[in-house]
Amino acid sequence: MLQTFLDSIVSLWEASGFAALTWKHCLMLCISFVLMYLAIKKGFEPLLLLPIAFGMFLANLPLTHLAVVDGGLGEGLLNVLYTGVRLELFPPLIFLGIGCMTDFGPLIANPKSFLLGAAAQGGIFAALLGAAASGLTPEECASIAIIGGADGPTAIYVSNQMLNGGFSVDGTPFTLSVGTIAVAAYSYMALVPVIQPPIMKALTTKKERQVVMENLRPISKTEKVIFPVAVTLVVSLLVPAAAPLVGMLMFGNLLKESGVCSRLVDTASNALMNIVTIMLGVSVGATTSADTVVNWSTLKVILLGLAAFSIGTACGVLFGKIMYLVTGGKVNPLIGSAGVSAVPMAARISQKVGAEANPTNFLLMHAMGPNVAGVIGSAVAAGVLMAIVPH
Amino acid sequence: MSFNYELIRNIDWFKYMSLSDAGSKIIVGFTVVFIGLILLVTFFSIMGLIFKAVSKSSAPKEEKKKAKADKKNSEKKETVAEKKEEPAIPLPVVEDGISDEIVAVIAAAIASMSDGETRYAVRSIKKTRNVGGRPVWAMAGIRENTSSF
Repeated sequence: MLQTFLDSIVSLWEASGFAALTWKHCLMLCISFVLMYLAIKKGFEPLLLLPIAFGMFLANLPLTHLAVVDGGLGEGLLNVLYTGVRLELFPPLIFLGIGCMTDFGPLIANPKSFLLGAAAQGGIFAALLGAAASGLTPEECASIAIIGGADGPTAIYVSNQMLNGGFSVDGTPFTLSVGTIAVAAYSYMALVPVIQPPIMKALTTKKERQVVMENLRPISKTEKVIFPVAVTLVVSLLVPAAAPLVGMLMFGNLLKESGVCSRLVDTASNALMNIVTIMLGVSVGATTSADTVVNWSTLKVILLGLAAFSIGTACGVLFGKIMYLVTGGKVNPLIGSAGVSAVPMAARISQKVGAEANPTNFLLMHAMGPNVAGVIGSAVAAGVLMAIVPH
Repeated sequence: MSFNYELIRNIDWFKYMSLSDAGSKIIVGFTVVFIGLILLVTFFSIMGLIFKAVSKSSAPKEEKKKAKADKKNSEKKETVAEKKEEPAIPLPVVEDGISDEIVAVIAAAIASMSDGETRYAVRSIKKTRNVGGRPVWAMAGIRENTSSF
């Protein structure tokens, strides 16, 4: 009887998650706890970081089979939810909601802000070179590079396209997952207040930071209605691969600016976006199982992602300096750093650093121009990456 | 202990994407992003100039119109004032049990929905009974949700 009792205990132990727990699982569980702490206690992008962290937590519980495997073609709840990412459905829907909430007025009032949004994408292409030099496949390089766009849905969209199938075009297996890219992208976006100010201060003089910019001209409703249609037309014709993201962003904005679809705007920017955010976050987090994340490539993602973000900020500020010189000191170079997207945090940082140099200066509205231009710029850069990197 | 530089030299840095390949992709990519956004700058700068010109040309006309209307109104007012003083707007008749705060909220709601030109006055405030067995707010909600179908 004692033997039967002991056998039962042993078989119960062997069937439990404790027996299957490895150090890699423990490491990933600890990382998920840290991310949960940062989201809840520190308020780091909690709407996405918390679902991602919990997805990571679920995926690393041994024997539960909750991890998203085979690019979302596996079985189980989270694999089913991941279908929305695999079929490129969720990121454009998030962009629809963002479009409904974004005011492109400052950008229309000062179209030159588009250039700052383009310059700040320099981080993406610098990271592409760095990733290529670290011996990663072209698809992995593009996935890491897009972190420099500082746009979560775009990063998920591109990395899903690039890493879909699990193998490179030459048959090399990927060592990265979409979840790793997403976690890095959202972490760096949350760290904007830490990463950007030192770079902004290092590249500008106090005199430049004190520049007070002229008031923006008022924008008519007609201009606001023309804007989304024109942007979709130009971007989609130039880079068709960017059309799903830019198209949905601008569709959402047209709904908002038309003023006749308030119910649709309400749904797209609240209920729909929240539902998609929950499914996107938890399923993307579940791609970070210990087997796919604990490797050297993750370290490369962390380092190159940080480099991409920093270089993007630097490119924006440097282009801002060029505009400062060309306009005879009418443009404050600090608004350039907002070109990395990360709406509206990056614009707030421009305001904060500007106010430190001149407390009477209000750069927020001026920085919102490059900030929303960065969203368009990163979507265009994503389309370009998908077009030039074979996958 | 000396560092083994041979180890670093032997690493195949550009294993899957050569330096020239990566370089050309960067140049092409960055250029296309810039071209796209320069096109948008050009488009919206021209659009801005057109709208500025239109608003400038229409501004004097509007000002003239407004000045004319103001002049007319002031003339009218003067003649009315000469004849007799403008009658005061009567206070609204408020049903018992409706507090002053509710009256203020209703007046504020009407003011916020008005276009600023037309003047409205609250004449009376009465409690509405249930319509067809439904509270009046439920009826308003149903009407709003079904009106477009």
